[in-house]
Amino acid sequence: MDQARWLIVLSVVVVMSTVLSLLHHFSEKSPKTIVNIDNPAKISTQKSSEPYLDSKVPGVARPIRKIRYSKPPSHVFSVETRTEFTKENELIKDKGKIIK
Amino acid sequence: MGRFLSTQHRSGFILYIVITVLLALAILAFALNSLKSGTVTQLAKNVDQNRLTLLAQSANAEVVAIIRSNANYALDSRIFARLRSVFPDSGGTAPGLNTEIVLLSNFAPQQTLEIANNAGYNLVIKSRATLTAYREAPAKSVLAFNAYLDVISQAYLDGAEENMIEVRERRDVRLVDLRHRFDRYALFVKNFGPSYNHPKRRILIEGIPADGPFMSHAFLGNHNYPKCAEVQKHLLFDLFFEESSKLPNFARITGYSGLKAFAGGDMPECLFFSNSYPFASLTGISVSQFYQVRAVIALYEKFVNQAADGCLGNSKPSKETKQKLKELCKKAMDASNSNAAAYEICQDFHDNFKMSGNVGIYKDCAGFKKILNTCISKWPYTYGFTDANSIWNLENLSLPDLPAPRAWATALAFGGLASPTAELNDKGAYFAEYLEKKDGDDYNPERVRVGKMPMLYGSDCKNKLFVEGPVFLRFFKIGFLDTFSQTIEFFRGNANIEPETVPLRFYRYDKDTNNFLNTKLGAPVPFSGLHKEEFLMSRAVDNVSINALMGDSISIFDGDGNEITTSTTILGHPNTTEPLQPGGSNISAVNFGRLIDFKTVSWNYPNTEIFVEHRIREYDGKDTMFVDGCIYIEEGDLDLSKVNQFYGKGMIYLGRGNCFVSDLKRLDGRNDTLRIYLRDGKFIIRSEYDTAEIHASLAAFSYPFGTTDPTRMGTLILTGQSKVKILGNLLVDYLYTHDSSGNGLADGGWLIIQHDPLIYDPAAEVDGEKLDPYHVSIGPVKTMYSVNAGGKTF
Repeated sequence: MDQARWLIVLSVVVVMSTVLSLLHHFSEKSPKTIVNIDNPAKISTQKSSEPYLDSKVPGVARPIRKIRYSKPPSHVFSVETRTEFTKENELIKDKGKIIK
Repeated sequence: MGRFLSTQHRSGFILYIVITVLLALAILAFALNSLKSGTVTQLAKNVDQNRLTLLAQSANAEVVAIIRSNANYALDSRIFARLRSVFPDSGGTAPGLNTEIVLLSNFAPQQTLEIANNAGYNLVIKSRATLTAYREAPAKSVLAFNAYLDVISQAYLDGAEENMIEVRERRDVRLVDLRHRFDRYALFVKNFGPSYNHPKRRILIEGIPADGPFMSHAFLGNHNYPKCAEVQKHLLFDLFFEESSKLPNFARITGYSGLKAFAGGDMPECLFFSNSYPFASLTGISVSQFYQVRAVIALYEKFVNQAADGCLGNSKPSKETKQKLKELCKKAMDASNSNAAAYEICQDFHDNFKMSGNVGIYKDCAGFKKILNTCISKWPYTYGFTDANSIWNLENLSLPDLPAPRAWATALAFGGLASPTAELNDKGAYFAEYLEKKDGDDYNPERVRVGKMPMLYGSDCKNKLFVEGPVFLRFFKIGFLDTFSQTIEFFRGNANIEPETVPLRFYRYDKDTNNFLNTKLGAPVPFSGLHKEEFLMSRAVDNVSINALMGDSISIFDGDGNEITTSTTILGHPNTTEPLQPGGSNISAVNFGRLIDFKTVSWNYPNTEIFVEHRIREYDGKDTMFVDGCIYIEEGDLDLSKVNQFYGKGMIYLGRGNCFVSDLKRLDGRNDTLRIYLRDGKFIIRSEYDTAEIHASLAAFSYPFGTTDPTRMGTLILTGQSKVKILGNLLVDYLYTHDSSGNGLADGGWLIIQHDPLIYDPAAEVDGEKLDPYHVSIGPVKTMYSVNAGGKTF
């Protein structure tokens, strides 16, 4: 009888564990099915952060037949001052600080 | 009984087990029921939320991808236009800093929806993207913005809007206008270049197809001009008839109306203009300045020798000069009748000739004055203009040797410039005068670099180019006093005056200023060219601005960007000595450079190795460099010699280091442009072949500016190539096409700079398609991320 009692307890534990495991299993697995998409390549390309994977397809060199120029913007006529270059140099001298 | 009991006991036990299992199941069922009504509901909600979050993230990624793919190349897209609305000159009114620009609103990302549908979820997703510029580069010359891109996506199951998930992410965006003042220059060289005129290592500039004031510029400076005594330090470009005559104003400058030769001269037809003018009509020079003219003295001494020989009965003609002739005259007078004409000639010379040091003074001799006056009244002053190539043999030039003159240019009459004489150390007068020392320095050896000017106006001489800097044309005048024949009364007899031609040798303007050769005439001699010919001597005409070749005036944008018409024919004055700049600014070319705004740089690399690793990939079987906006590399030598092509638009700014290039071409002739700026380095051609073609703007300037140390200066080292073509432009401290160490071009080599219209004006309209001068870089990293399940932003 003692043996049988333990058998009952064991069987209850096994059954409950199995049921809970199954519940747990299904609760975790179900969202993952979203990733099983038909065309994962499309998505990975879009998500890429690499600029050189841009979707632009390089074309062949096209000769220029007619060109019309635009009036240059004002900043094109500005001349950099010595002070500005000195400031830039100070930044560059702080080696590594620019690299973030 | 025992058996019955045993069977009964067993069935009781089985019943017990069954009841226990049923009880366990009942407990389980109860537990499950409780779970379903609480935890399972929560669990299900969590599952939904996770699912929605994931899909909202996917929507954000899709939106970022769409914005990224529209940012730089989709010229017709709304996103493209709205990103550019940050820039004040993009067409509309710029919204200003910290203003949200809506790029996308209520947008349903289709790819994400498709994924959801495929997974069986009836989903609703809305996305919104905004751009907010929050910083503008402080330097006036840099137009660039820092901004952030906010992307918000909301996702919920259809019919369950109350269970919405909103995912928000932020990315760094850097927007730059790549245009800079240097773009307008096909060539910008700060320092003096000794090899511009090199006849066998030449520069060809193909300017942009010009349109009104839109044309390529070149700045050619004279900084670090070699030390010399001459104050004026101009760059002199030698006209080369074969090419220069195709330019619109060549005839106006040189008086050209067909090639000519001097009458009776044994010479090729190489004169642009020639004329003979009565010497007697000249003003501004005095008779006294001709007392030392050798031809007149020689003629006079010949007559005196003849008279002395007559008195002495010599059968062999004497050829005495100066003091010895005076002694001969004394002997002749002693041996002759004082009434004879020959006696009078000898007496005139004996009594009036004097020596002053080594110089004979003839001016008081009546016979000399008679001959000189005859010459002055009868001399035809003959002159003509030609180019250096016609005077010197440039085909066999082998520096550092001076070029040899062509045979005709050494004839007595024509030898005033180039005929070598012992008196001038076997050099022609033009070279000798400038190689002479003054105050311990050479007067100006750079002037002896005669040759052929660079082809500044394209291979067919049809492209316009506005040259800034002290650059002048040079061509040469050969002048002489021609011979004549005249019988005059000479001491009671007749004498036939037929003096030798008098070559009018070149004299420096600052030297021996009482000399008739370098005395400015009172009035110019007739000349149908641009300048006034006001000197008698053979000389170089070097006061006409190089820009005069294109016309008497030219329409350009001035330093403030206003369209102006400027005269090119103000003699002795270049159009600009320093690069064009805004009114009130007077910054020396030495201090010109390009600033970079580090905060708007798209990519930073600590060294070139990482750059190469990150940016160079194989594409279509070729090593390809991928460019994306402004890329800053701190230091290191950048070896692009194996990179065949590049893709994208941007600038590489190398803080310190050299750049090795060979063939580097762009993939797309309409979109791809590359600028490489070396702040402290050189471009070095490293090619397996003897040619190289680079499609980029190459800039190399030393920092600090104005160094005199050649090892620190920025340049393009041509490493003996026979042809280097740059489709872009070239901006350097110095440029040598000939170099004694072999780092120039090969013999017969060409440096071709074809100014790329896409560099000149990145906003041009090409075949009806407007180009884009801006570049937008969207950061790969999320700078902010949040998930919101309790509310919504829009």
